[in-house]
Amino acid sequence: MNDKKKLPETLGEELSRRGMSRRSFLKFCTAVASAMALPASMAPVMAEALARARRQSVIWLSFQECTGCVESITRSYAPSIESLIFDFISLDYQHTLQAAAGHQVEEAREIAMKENWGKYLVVVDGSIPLKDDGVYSTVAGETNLQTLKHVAEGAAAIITVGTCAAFGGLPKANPNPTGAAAVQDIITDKPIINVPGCPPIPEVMTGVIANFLTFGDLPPVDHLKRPLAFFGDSIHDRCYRRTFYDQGKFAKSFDDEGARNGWCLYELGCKGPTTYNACATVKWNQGLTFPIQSGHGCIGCSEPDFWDKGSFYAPLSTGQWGSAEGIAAAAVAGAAVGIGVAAMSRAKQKKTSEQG
Amino acid sequence: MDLLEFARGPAMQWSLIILVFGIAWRLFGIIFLKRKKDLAEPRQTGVLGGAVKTIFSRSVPARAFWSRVMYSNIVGYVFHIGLAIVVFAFLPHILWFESILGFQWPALPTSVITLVAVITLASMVALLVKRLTHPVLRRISNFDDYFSWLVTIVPLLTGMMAFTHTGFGMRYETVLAIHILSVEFLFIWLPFGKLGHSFLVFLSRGTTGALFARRGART
Amino acid sequence: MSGLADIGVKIESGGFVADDALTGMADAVLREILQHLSALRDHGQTHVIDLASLPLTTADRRQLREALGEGEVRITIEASGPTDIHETAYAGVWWVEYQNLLGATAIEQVEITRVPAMLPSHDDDIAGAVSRLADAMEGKNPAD
Repeated sequence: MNDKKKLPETLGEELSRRGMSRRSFLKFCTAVASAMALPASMAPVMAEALARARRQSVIWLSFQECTGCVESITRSYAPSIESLIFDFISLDYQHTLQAAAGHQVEEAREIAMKENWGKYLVVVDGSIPLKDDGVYSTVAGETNLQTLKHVAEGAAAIITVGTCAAFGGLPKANPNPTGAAAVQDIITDKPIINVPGCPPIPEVMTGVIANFLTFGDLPPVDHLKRPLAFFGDSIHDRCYRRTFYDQGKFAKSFDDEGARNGWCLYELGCKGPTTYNACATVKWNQGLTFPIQSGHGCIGCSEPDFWDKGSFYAPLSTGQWGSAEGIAAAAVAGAAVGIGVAAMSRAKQKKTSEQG
Repeated sequence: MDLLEFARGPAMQWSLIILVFGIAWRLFGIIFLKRKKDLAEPRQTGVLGGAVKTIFSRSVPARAFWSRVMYSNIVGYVFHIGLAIVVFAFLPHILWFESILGFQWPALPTSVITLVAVITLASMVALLVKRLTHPVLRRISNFDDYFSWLVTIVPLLTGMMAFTHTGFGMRYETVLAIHILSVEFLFIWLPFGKLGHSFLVFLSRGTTGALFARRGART
Repeated sequence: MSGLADIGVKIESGGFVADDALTGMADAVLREILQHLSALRDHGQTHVIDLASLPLTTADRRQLREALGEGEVRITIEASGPTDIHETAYAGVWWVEYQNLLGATAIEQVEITRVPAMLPSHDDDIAGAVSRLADAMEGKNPAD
């Protein structure tokens, strides 16, 4: 970080100086192309483009967050060369990973912004509190809101990592005491791509960053600004337990015969059908497994407000409303109205018959 | 709040409130209606047996009418039984009932449900065709008949779309939300239109049976 | 607490049925390979098929691999983890397996080409090699 002594050279030159061969480079691009569902023949083209590119300045802003997203991205593996993402970018500001501290880092950020004005990439994790002028989260005396607005001004694009930065996430959960908001609620004049998840899959985060490095542009997105390459299919669409859903074979508890046989977890509250993410294909822990494979239903963490959409263990087909008191009251009220109407009709009949 | 949250939340709660309110209103309203005193001397006093008998006997058309009503009756039965299977034997539906009633019952395999749903859908179309083509039936049909048909077929159709993940460009969540909303609309409409027969049919049949028994007519 | 023997152990038949079934996808891929191989013969056109992008079950993948067989060439490249390449029994059709540093297969591709893209030395690497070799001959430490 902060090795800005020399004028920027191309990535190709810099990496060969560090002893990284062009084959490693190609392998990296092959992995990115595969992850982003690009034609495999694109990899050599990407490698050439990337070799000629300059090191991308990245400013990483952490707001109301738990650092789980950073924990996740540092475990990116596929391929192992993905760790080299930090050779491809110049990470000029990142609270958790930076060695420096205090005023120096804030200064470094300002310098990086000035030098790369209009070209740097901003990565945001965490939501931004808006209530009471944003006093609920400040860094170096500046509220998150001020920092975001200031840094976003000179950004080429913004990548939000994690559900908090993308949609507000846990800080926004009812009753949202800090007035937490997502980046896209505040910044509207910059290209934004959302990589939600709690945390997001490491390879998805690095894949999106790599895509920006190689093409200088953000990949195609869905209606929630999530990259289609990873968020195009629902968990349910790509779930290996899908066959059992189609057959109507459901686990009834977390440790019954059905659960052991890999039956569908719908009844145990799996939110796979309404959740879009790459967990079922890219998987976690170096492609080892993902929650459903480990026996727990999907909790829908890459969807907006997943925390407030009822119990994680309530089946998707059930309602999300509290008590049945209203219904009981409706029964009583209905009966009362029915009897009242009948009484009125009786009175009227009586009157008519008396008259007649 | 997105469409699915609305459908699963307030819309579901309010539609159920209206359903229960409406059913209670209509049931109590009808039960407590003043009935004209029958001054004729009853042929028999035990009318309960007649009421019960009619409830069952009317489930099969009289032999004399067989040739004329068999089609509607058989297709009608196929539709009603099919709909009951789809509604009460599909696991996601059972889970919904469980969340309200607190208990569940065994589900049928999904392949069976799919087959039954297709048959049910076909039977509904056949019944509509009959209604539109039969000269007498067409003349005695009103808006309520067609609207109730629509309100019933839409949940079936959207349910199949949701299950098979065919959204014709719509996302699954949207299709699911539309399915739930269409069922909620059915709930709202049910007590007030001809669909009210779902809770009134045996009451009215029993009343007729009791009346017939009293007069000594065949029940 | 009593011993481990008291804990019930249930032996289950391994693997999920869903992933062990042949779907016929392998045949479809073979047809695609044939088409691209003809294009290579006629126009010199190369092509890469990323197997991860296809809905292949484990059994399908095995079937495809067996159908293509093994040819004369077998190469291992060590660049950020091993990459195993072998020419299949059909000249011009290469099976490329990228592995990460932990040895897990990250990407599998079928490349239809004369020489897989990973193989040739890149001009930039050659340029670097020239100066490194020259430095080495002068007794310099290239790291300086």
